[in-house]
Amino acid sequence: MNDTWVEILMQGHRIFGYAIMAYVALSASVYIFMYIAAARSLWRDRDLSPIQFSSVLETELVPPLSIVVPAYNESINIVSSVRSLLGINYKQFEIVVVNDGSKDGTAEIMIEEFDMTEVKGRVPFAGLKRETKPIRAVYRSLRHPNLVLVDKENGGKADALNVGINVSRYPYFVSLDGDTVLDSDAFIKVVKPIMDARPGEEIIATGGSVGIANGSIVDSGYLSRDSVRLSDKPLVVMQVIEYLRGFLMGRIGLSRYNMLLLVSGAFGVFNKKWVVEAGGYETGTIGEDMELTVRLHAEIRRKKSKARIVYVPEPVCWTEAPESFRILRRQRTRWQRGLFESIWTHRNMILNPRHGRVGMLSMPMFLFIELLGPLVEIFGYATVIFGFFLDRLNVQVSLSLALMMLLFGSLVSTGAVLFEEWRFHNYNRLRDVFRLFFYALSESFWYRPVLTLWRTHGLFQAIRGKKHGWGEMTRVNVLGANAKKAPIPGTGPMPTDREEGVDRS
Amino acid sequence: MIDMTILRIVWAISAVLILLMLLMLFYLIERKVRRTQHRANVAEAVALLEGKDSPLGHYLASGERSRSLTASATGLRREALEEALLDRLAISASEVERQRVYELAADYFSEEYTELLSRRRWSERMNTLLHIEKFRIRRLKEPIIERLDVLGDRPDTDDERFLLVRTLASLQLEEMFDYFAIAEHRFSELQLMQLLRPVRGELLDRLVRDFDRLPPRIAHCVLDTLRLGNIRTTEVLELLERCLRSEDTEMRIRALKALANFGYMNEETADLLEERMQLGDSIAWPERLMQARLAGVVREDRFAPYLEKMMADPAYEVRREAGASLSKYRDGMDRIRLMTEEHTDRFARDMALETLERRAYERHVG
Repeated sequence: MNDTWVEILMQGHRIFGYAIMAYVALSASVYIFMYIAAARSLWRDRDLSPIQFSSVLETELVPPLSIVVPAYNESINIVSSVRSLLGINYKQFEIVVVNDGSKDGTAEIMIEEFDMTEVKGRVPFAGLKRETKPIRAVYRSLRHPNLVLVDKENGGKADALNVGINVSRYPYFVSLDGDTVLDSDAFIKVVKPIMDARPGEEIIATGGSVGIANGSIVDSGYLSRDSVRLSDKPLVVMQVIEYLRGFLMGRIGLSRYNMLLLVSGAFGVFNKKWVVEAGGYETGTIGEDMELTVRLHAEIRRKKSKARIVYVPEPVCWTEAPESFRILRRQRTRWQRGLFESIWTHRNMILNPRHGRVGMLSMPMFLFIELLGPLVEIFGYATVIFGFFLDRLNVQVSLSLALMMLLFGSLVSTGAVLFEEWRFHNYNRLRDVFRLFFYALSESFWYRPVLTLWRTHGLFQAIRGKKHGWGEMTRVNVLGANAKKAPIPGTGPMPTDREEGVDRS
Repeated sequence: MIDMTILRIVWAISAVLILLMLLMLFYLIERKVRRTQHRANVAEAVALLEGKDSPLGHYLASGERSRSLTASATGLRREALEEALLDRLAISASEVERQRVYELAADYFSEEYTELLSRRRWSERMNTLLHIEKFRIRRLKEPIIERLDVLGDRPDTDDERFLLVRTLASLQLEEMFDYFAIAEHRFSELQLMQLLRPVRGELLDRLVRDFDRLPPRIAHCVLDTLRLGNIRTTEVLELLERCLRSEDTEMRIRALKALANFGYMNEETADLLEERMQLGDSIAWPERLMQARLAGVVREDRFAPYLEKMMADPAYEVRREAGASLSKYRDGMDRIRLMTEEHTDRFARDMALETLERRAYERHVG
């Protein structure tokens, strides 16, 4: 009897072991594939002159943009945010600030500062079908004809964005997230693919890379290339590497095959017509940006369209990264919950041939590698330990294998540092390069295991159905937060950057 | 035994990984050091060039080139001069100074640019083209055309092809016409517009003259270019009116739009417009939209009843445009106010109300 049990256990352990090995091999090959795709694209574009953008900027052909800025209790920052937005490098745009029922007089300050007067009458421009919380009033600035303020009842960020879409006038809108500091050419960079779309191909959404601003010098709401500095804090440097890898490697590959599942909420340009047809932002979710992107993909398939969702490797905006473990943990568990929500809502797309590559490849990839990855990893460790006790394990082989995988992880991360150098060279001091490189090497040994734990925790929270734990809406503080010439301080109590899908290796 | 083999493989792979990482580190350091050094040298040279009493400043002010300015322009010197001249172009207002910049750039860079255009590295060629465009070096026509001819047919060459043809266009070279056939299939609408927008003078006349021989997508964009450029000649008016009779729906739509911008059409064309407005829903909605817009610009009373009818159109955009157009008529606002109460169609009543509100809004926002 006892023997049979041991036999079953052994057999189970063997199968489990193989399954995990297959998983590791599969995910490693996915990474290698993306690595190569990214390397090819970045190698070609390396050292391309930034005057490519200035040439385009000078034409009046750039499509006009509606910049939607949701604001909740932003009385301190909103004025400087809007100021710096008014000065962006772009021909034609309007700014729609949506005050989401703030309690601190955000609307009053806007009205006072920009000389705004109420506009009578209802102004629905887009015709979005989704219900939104009622609009109290619409104002426009007497000084800046392209600045509009919408005052509405509180309904959360997604709801504010929906209202912004409804009021916006132009065919493309930009969604901006809290804590975002813009690159001065951000808009033209992300609009360029829309302008370059091939005949018959439509670009319905684009997004760019998000960098980490901690340690850099922000000047009146913008961060220019010369002012980028690497933070002194190891935790921040790790996140810099993580972002580089997630954006430069993950997304270039996905974008190439039109499989991008996330246009970051921090900064994205969307085709209004498509978003309206897809039904706008879903309220009451954590990951409304990813949810919308997935829905847009579904819409593309439904219409059998050749439309594309594109990612631009250029860094377009900068965000503050958490500097303490406590806040980073909160951020990552939340991301994991958001990811779970988005995938769960659209679970019918997974491995559904009707959804093409998105259904057959990217959704499963996000499910198995992004969402379940940390869990599998923990199972992997358990299997090894278990095997050790069952005495079924060659310790030498296991340790060597583990070392190899750790090295592989480090190689992928250091590769991201290399890509950064090819394309952007933002970190020019030799000291910074060394630090990036050696931190990248160390990643597998401390940062990653910690993240694995948090992400697993987040996954369990999501399965248990924990609702997102911020009162109504996180504070949104667009660009102006650091308007003064000063290094960016640590994050506030609630980090709002929603940068997900920073891929694991 | 098997374990040993596995172990060896694993170790071999690990060694390769470590080697790769070391290589990467060396490569990174080498690149960084070289780049930083190079940038510092260029910056220094630029500072020298932009200094107050520099030979460059002297040349731009007087037009005379001193000997120190005429040293050969390659490598570092070229980059520094490029930057200094670009800075100058960005800030300088006087046309004389701009011309001097162009002349100097043409004399100094032509030779090296010719060579750079045939480099293997894609980004180098692209950067060169961008500079040629900025400095308007017309004499580099030959190398550009040569490059276009050796460019393969593969789609991944399109970015370069586009920049090459756009350079031809911004240099006002008629050779750009030779590439319309491929541009038609490969370039986006906005790219075509970028090709056509800079075209001026004789070349523009030729576009209008040879309009019927142009590939359809390019012809559409020419109509848009004429509209954006606000070209108001009798030839253009004639062309637009002729396009209204085209079989091609897209052509008619763009012509209507351009005419609405032109703000005038002859009696005969107005008759044609009325005739087509009578056809109602059998016409595609974007065309109805543009009909409504044109009718709103010319404000002839005979169109008012059609606009009223259009306010009950199945397409929201058409209803909205019809409302906006009608509100520009002399008694338009009264008609609309009446419609809010009396029109039998609910859509039309809604739109009438919305138009009134929008007019109130736009009076503020503009």
